[in-house]
Amino acid sequence: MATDTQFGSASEDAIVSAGDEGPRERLLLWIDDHLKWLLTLPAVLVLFSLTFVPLLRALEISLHNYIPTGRRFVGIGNYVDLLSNGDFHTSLWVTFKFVVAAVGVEFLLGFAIALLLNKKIKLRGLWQTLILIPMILSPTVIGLIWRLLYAPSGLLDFIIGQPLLGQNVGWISEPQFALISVILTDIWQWTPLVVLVMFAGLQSVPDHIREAAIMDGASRRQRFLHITLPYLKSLIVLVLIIRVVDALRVFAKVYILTRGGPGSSTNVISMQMYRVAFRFSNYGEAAAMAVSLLVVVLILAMSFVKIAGVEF
Amino acid sequence: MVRVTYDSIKKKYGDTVAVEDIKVTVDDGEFAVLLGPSGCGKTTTLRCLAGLTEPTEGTIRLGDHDVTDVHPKNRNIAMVFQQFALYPHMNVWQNISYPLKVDGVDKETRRERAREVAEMVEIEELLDRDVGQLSGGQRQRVALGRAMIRRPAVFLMDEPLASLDAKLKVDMRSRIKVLQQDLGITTLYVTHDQEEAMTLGDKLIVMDDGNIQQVGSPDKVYHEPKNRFVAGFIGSPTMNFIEVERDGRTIRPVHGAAEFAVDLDDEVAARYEGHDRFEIGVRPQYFKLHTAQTDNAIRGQVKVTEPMGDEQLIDVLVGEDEDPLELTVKAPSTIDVARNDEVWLTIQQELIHGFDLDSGERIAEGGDQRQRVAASRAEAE
Repeated sequence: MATDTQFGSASEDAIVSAGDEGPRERLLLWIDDHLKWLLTLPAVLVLFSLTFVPLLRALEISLHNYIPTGRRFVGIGNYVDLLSNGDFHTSLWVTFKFVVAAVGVEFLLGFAIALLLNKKIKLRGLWQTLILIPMILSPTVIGLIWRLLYAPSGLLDFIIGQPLLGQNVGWISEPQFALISVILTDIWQWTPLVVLVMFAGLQSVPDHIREAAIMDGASRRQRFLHITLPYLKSLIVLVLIIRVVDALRVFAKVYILTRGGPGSSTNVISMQMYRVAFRFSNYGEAAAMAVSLLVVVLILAMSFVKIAGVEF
Repeated sequence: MVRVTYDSIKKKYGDTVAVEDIKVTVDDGEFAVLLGPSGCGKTTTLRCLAGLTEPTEGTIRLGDHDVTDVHPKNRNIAMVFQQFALYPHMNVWQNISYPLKVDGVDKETRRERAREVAEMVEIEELLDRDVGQLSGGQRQRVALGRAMIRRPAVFLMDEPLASLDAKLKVDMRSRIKVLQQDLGITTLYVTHDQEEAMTLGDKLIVMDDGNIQQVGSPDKVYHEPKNRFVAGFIGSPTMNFIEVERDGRTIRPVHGAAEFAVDLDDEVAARYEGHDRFEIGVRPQYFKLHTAQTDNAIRGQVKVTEPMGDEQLIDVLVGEDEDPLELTVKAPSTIDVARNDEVWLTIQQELIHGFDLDSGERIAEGGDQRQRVAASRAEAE
């Protein structure tokens, strides 16, 4: 039944009075009630099939040992083995060094650049664009670019190694430099993300709060420590979570630059997984590593949020 | 506690002139209100004193010190912002005592001082709350407390009540006035609300278009507006302006409305000697509304009535033609008229103002307008 209203043109379907429930109206009411679920269903299905299904599959694989004739259920055997696996421990340590150094420098450098951009500098738009370029390249391309730069007698040797040391540095061929070189590449790629997020955050600090602090007599340093930093706390946590989680999973760059070598000097955990799975065909052990890594990432992310007391 | 002097302050943003030439002095302990429509330059004027905006030309003095180039934090000025500008991650007492914290005062003393100030603004029970949990009025008290805690030489307030609802506004208004008088701190207060300005200020600084239009007490700017702008801006509802031609003692509107022909008293007519064409300004309450024809009255038709309790506002149309004169009249609610009723208006002539058409300046009336108002009231009773 059409309800006549003088306030605009409400459609006939949208207004269904309570005592007027034919099958059509009942269907419309049901849709109206469940619309939020219906609308999110496709995304939920995609997410489910792309995250949960592979995750469960990895869990299943990690409980088996793979042999040429098939597989054998071993329970938590693979996980127990990991505890005493020296290569795994080394790769954990390498990953830890990589994550702390890369994310640490990315955050400090990125925040510093964001603070500079937040001033009224000349050509700000141009700087912003230039700074973002590394972030939009694919990790493989970045790996290839830097492999050329790091190559013996490559550009970096040409401008640093040979003039300063009189010889090639061996950026990615010497064990003591290889990890640093990989870390540098990661910094080059991901500092822009920190810049982007922190710059947006700085821009969102309301002028009146900044000015109130000026009127209250706070110095530049005090304003940064007492006002800006606390104001950006949740963004800082967010960007650190994103970067730490992503750095823990680093693969393409390492694969292209060093394949985990020389020795095991850049053998990060995902590189180790790759080796175990696809070189030694030990799928069960690799899957166990993957699941362990997931647990570590979850614990890290949750403790970050907890420490910062941030709600998203 | 100090005298504030603006000496020829000018502020340009690129080619846009925000403030053209501000010369004004606010005396020690005085409550000055900068009043004007939005975009008139009043906030810019205030921010120049705060040090948040650097004037293009001119000097600002606090007492005898030129502070034009002094950093805001060294001016000993506190400011209350329209958006309250509380620090979202600090609780109430931390917000209030922040000016002490940056001064290096220890925590015990800070808490103690915050408590004292919180009592003055009556929020002592909220000291440990997060500012996110506070209502608008409570936030404004925190902002006031934060401004007070350092005992600044000058208070600046930039539309501090603009985001509060009407009832709270009136409440906070009187509280601010009491606090200011108790503390005796020189205060500059920006508002576009003329009622707020009238009730708060010792001195009104009426601004328009980057310039000061008039400086004076609330009574003075109301009863003796310097020009047409001030006359129209101060007073609610707005003064009625009618462009008239004078023919001997009779004035008639320049545009239409032949019904509007008023014979001026000799004394009033004498004021406008030498002005054949000028604009008169009549406040709504200086009309008298009659339901029957009387002497020297203007015939009109009621367009709409707006009851306001004891009084009512009546819009009256004068003239039959396409473009009638529309006058707003304030009348006692005892007069019973409705839309389209015929009414007659007389003017309390001694209370009208005349304005020069070219300059907009008020044509001097001589004598004291306030006395005239008192006299005409006595006569009416």
